[in-house]
Amino acid sequence: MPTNNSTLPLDANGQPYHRTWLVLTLLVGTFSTFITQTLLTTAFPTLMNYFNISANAVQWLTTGFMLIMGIMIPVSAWMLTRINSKYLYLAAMIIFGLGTILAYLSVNFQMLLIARMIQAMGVGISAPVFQTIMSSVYPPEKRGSAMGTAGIVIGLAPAIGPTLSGWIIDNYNWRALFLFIMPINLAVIIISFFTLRKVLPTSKQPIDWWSVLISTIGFGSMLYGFSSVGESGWGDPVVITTLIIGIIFIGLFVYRQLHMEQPLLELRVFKIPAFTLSAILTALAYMAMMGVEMILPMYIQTVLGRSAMDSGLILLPGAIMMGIMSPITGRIFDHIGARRLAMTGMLLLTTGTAFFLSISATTPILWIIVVYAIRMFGLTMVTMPVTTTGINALPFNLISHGTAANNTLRQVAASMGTAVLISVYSNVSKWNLPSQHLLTSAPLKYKSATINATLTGYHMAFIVSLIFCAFGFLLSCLLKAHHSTEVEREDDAA
Amino acid sequence: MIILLLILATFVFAGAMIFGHASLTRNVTVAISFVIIAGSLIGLAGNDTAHWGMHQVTTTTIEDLVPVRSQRAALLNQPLGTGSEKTVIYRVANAAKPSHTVADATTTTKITTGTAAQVQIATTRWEYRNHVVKTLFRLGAGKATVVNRHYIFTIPTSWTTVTLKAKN
Repeated sequence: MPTNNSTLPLDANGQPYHRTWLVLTLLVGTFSTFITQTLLTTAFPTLMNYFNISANAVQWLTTGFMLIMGIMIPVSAWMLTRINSKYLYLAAMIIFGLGTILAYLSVNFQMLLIARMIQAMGVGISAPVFQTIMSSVYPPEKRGSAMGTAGIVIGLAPAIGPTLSGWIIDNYNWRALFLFIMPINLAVIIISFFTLRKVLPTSKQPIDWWSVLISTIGFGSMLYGFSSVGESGWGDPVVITTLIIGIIFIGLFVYRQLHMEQPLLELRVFKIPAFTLSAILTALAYMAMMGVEMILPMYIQTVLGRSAMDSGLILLPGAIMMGIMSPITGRIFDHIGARRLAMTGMLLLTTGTAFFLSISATTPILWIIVVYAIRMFGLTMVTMPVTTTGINALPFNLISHGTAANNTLRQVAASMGTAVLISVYSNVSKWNLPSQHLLTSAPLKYKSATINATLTGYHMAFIVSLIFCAFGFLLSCLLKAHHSTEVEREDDAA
Repeated sequence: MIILLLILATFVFAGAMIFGHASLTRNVTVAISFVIIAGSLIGLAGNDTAHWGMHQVTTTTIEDLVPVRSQRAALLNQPLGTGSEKTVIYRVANAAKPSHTVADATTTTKITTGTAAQVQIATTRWEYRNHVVKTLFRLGAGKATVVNRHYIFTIPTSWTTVTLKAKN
């Protein structure tokens, strides 16, 4: 019998462990991997020059990364029920580390792209594992704070990626982007041996390879389709074909999962209404967040004429706001539940988004910074608290499946939201562009007409984002006033 | 000011919405702070797009001209594109380098003949209507935006204007 130390929680083998150290290791590890998702965007011009490739090709360093991540997430649920979480996380970190070393050594673009995909496999495993562990190692009444801490990674890391890489590129070179992660990655791997534990029970559940294959084709094809909308448009045969293949295969996947006794991804979690509501609400919030995170830097660069680095800096206070507020809203959630937080957040998000319908070529930067930060302030009250409330509706053994289902939906929604906003923007601005002959006959009129056309495109994209937000607000009113673990129930008339 | 008010109201609104006990005070606080948030955003948007609280102020400067190259090429027309738009290159007296009119769709230029060689530049800008408005909106706002610029060149009959080749 292990010594029964009542102050320490027990792992899946009944051994006491230090939760703080475990969580800290996961936090640092996942943060340093998750940040690479958006790390290269500011480096694109540099990489295009270095490898002599087009803008179209270079964006696959990020698109391909997200694609692989999206494919890995549904499989991660099975891995968690089968593999000791300590070794699973370590494996993810080592895969990521190998990808990083390969990326650092890249001599051509193909090698860098492959390295990025290997990195993405690591992140695709570590991110859902991290989230599942965070919601499993704490008792339900502390889950809000834990998930709030997890929110620092999920919200802050992708947001500071572009700014950090802008700074690194300006001062060093693109290889340094990978070099600076290596020591952090190595340290996390070493420390993990001591601090990580098997915290989730595992069973010898066989893997259904058909499900893996179908989900890879389905999600891979669909995410590919959405990522291609931005440059090719909805009418492009490749986009249409990949989206149709994606929908068919995801349909097959869903059917197979619902008719298996031990599915790869337990989709029956969606039979729990509270979980489904929270999953849809989180997905909407991410659609509202990711699309604007993509559109706003473009506006700052093309209309306001600032640099990529500047556009990163302008969005930074919003990202920091999210990092600071996430643990706080998590703590508040533990006391009062998700309803009030989510309603407040959605209302602020909607109001803040409405302001962006008025942006012009003369809008002061400070106003954009403040309103964007208010938007992020609102988002923090929605994303993690609502995710947690959904997880709390599930029995313990379904948490890993719930997390994977939620993350998959979120990933698909985010890429769909981005695709919709980017395509609305590019189509509307294309329709409003002045005719080409004006460029030769009256270049000054052409320039101002072009800026107006671009602005109309941005305004339409923000209208679409506003619709997502307003819909999200309506859904947030459906959340239950109290969450199940609450002791002190408060009368909520709002 | 409005931007500070907006930040403050956001915190008050969130605080009351999240922590307030169901009561009239909470509802009133929530309502007022939300109206301030919405009002501030509408105010900022209105100021930016519809120039609320601004009025147009025109400042006119007159400067003496000297020929850019010689009296036969005293002013230079620089056509843009196929020629419906242009900038004019001129030289202010005592200036080391020639100047040119600001290339913008809202700039107009006119060349007339007269006795004295002069350029009259009328620049219209949006400026704050009064001190209160200025305090409200100034934080974060940049330089006053230019509405339009009118250049009127007056040159003696002995000067001629030369049109340069179009630059693309």
